[in-house]
Amino acid sequence: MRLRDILRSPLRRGDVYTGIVCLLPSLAVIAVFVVFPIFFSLFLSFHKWAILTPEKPFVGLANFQRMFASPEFWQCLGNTFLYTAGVVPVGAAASLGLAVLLDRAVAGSGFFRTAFFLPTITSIIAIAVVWLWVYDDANGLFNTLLRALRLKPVRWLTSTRTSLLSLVIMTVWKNAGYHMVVFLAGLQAIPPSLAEAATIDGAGPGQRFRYVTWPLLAPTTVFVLVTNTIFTFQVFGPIYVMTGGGPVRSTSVIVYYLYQRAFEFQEMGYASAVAWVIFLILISLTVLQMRLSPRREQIW
Amino acid sequence: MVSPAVALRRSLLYLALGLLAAVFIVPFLWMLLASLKSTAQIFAFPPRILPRPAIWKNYLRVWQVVPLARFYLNSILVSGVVAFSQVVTSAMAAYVFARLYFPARNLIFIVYLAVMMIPTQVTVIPLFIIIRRLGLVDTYGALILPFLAYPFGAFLLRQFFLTIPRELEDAALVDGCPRLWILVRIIMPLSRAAMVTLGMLAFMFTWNAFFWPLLVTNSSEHFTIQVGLAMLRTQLVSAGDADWSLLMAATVISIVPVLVFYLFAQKQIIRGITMTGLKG
Amino acid sequence: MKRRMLLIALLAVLTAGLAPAQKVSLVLWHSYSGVRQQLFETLIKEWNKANPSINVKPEYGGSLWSMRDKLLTAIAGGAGPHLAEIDSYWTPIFAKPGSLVKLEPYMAADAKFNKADLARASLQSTQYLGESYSIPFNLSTIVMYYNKPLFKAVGLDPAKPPADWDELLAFSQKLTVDKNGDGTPDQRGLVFPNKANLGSVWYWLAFFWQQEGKLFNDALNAGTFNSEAGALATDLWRQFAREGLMSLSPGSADFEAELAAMELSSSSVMGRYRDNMGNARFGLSALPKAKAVATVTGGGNLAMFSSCPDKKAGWAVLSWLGSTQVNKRWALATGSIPVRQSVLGTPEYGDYLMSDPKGNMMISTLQNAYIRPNLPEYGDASRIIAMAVEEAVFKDTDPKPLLDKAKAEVDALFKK
Repeated sequence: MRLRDILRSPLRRGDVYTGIVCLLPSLAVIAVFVVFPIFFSLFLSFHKWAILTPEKPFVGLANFQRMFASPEFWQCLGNTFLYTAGVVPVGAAASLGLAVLLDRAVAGSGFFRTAFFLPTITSIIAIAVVWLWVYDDANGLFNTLLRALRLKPVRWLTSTRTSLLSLVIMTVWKNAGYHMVVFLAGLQAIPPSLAEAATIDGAGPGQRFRYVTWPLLAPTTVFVLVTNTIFTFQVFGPIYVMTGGGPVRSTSVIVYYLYQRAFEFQEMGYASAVAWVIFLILISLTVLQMRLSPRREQIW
Repeated sequence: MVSPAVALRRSLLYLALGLLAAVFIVPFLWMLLASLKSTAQIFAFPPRILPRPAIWKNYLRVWQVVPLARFYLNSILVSGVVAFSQVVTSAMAAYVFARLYFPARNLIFIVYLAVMMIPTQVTVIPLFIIIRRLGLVDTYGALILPFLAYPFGAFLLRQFFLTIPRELEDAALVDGCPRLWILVRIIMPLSRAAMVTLGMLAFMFTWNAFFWPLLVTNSSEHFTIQVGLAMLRTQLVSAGDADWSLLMAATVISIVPVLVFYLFAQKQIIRGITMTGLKG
Repeated sequence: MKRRMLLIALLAVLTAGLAPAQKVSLVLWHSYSGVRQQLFETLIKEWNKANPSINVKPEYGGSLWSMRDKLLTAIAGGAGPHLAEIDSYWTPIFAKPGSLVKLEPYMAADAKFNKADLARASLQSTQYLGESYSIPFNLSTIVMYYNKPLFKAVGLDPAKPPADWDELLAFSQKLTVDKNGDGTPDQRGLVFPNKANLGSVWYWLAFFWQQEGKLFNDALNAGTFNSEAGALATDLWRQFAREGLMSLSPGSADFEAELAAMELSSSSVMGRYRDNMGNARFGLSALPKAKAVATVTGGGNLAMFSSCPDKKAGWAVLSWLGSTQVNKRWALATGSIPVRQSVLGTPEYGDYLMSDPKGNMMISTLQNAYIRPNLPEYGDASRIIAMAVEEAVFKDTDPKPLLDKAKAEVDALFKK
């Protein structure tokens, strides 16, 4: 529909003006404080900038060539994909499970919801202290439990084979409550009369979930999966605070790599190029998720 | 009367929930207990569960070692304003994305999604330069202005608005109600759960932000609680005067406002009807 | 008409003399909080009172780890501080592009500033390409702390800490104890940061220099750390890890919690251990030697940025903060090693040395302290070396090929 046609129809004319008025506050803030710095970083990705000096010599595609030739870049990217593949599906399933269990005002659900949300509201630095204790090789909580069960202790954070998995477990634990809250809000939007009707028709809880809850939860699920992927892929805090990318780069993720190049070595141009490659990856992943979700107007 | 099968299922449910809750709470208990112990007791092995003696004074001392009260107030102010503003701007933007069509709309929505895909580490310096040009370095404005709106909220609320049946709005439109009225009087009340959730999440993210407040504030009048916690951490990694129990106490205190907001938000969301099987 | 103008001119000249002296306001960033912050701000207040024309405003700039990021951002945005505490190994980062003011001319012009009085290691830490860009303020070395009761418990003499690598190994083995028989030691002989992101290279260098290793060649354009010294130092760490003598995931306070009997750490922690453990419970000694006695220095210096509006005023502040009197107060209150030899001769510090044998030991380690080289490539190079060492230790493999590969990477840095 062309703008001319829209403006001509009486019902729609008001829409366009209202649309602009409603969108403007959000768009204005985002344009100035988010979009503009992003364009600056796009500019930087084709230049070199040592931060402390104003010179920004043009280098064309040199940053990208260097990136693709760097084994460290590929290792970090691989770690990030593994990490994201572990966190997103497990985390979404866990959060959905918790939300479904706690949706009703059953006895104590308030307490449980609070318990599950506690990790989310605590800053990663405090969480890190606790989990460094949990994962300690000798006296940590996990290994003490394993030994009590006569199982072999695991070198959680000190072995290159299990370090990433350890971070995945901690992240799922920390963020379960966050997505749970989003799912809870989504469940609240489902009219209870539908579920009641299904029960009257003889549907058990499993069938109720499959045919009533799950389809109506689809927009929320899409939201959780898309945003979870976007943010998990850009993970930074746990690595910065807990592992520093180690041992031996096994937990080095792509944003940590970017941060080091930007601030430790003052290579802001190169770091910007890495940022834009991350962007391209994420937009591809998002488009993929869009294509894979059911084609209904209400979801996407 | 509840049948034995349902009773069994319910008790299994509670057992599972109880175990899960323990998994989620144990680290907190550890932190809470650590806030009352001396450093040697915190890391001792075999682990001591209860502090001996309990150093309650930590909770008093923590306010004196750094100006924690000021940091607290700053965080409440900044997080509160940002949360409120994000809910309002996001609701308005979400309505456009969900209902009001104009040619560039979908493109703008994709841009909204796209801007969340660039790591902030490379936008932080350009953003600082903008703040500097606006003369806002070391002010509340620097902490609030860039976050008055963010795509995350618009996306979240858009998904919720999409689930609201169009018939409700169509009836009002036919009656000649302006769109804004529909948004405020029809859509928003129906989306209370989502909006409260968004407000709480925005509050939480702003509350827990560390990097940006550190970069953009210089004087302790403007520091937020996370910067305060960082001051208490001092040079933990290298040698230093880190007082672990004090840090734990400050961390416990720092969680309280978000927890309160969360409890308030949850009250808005809980559904009243119990539906665990048969009625009566 | 002319007379009136003359009167006005006369008035202007007279009142000009009455105008207050030009006041300079300088911003100084530091990384202190708690007790140190109070002491530092007290010092600044004293300066401001005694020098009303140069007003210094102290601001917390984050811990030393985050202050670097804050400095970079602020300078890029034209909002950097005029003076700041900087970690000594940042000097090349800020000196090379000209963000720091070269202090040599000011040092030379200031009769009161005695350059020769500065501790050798301290002075070196301020230099980039042979010239000073900061003044020393904080100084520390790596020392060994050991737990006396734990020594006694395994039959070791608490007055005799390990003197060389052989004793270090032997003592560690004795002090690593599996108390509850579950197969993992509950008490380790040794603890120190052994991961790259926790600054392990600082500790590795001590062992490396104890084997008389050389990091770079004389021309300073190639790495020479893949020598036998490098392999020996790394192999020692491998042995510690392999035999469980040190934990690969140490807790944050293992020595204080008595989970480890010996710790390599900064001399600046001594005060905390004295307060929390009691003076009698632990001892302090120099690091065990191999071919040579060696330790590494660390510390913060104070620098002036090129954005400072009045460099002479900035220098006056710095030179006062680095003076004998101020450094003496700072060293006594914080346990930092004095940066000036004249501090050792003051009555107050002399009294302290007499009362605390640990203080004496701490100062004596300075004689064999080496500093990390302030080359522009050092930051990158140290990271490369640290990763190679970490890989050798965590995977328990031969360090030679890893160090050779690291050398190739470091050599490439010099060629850039």
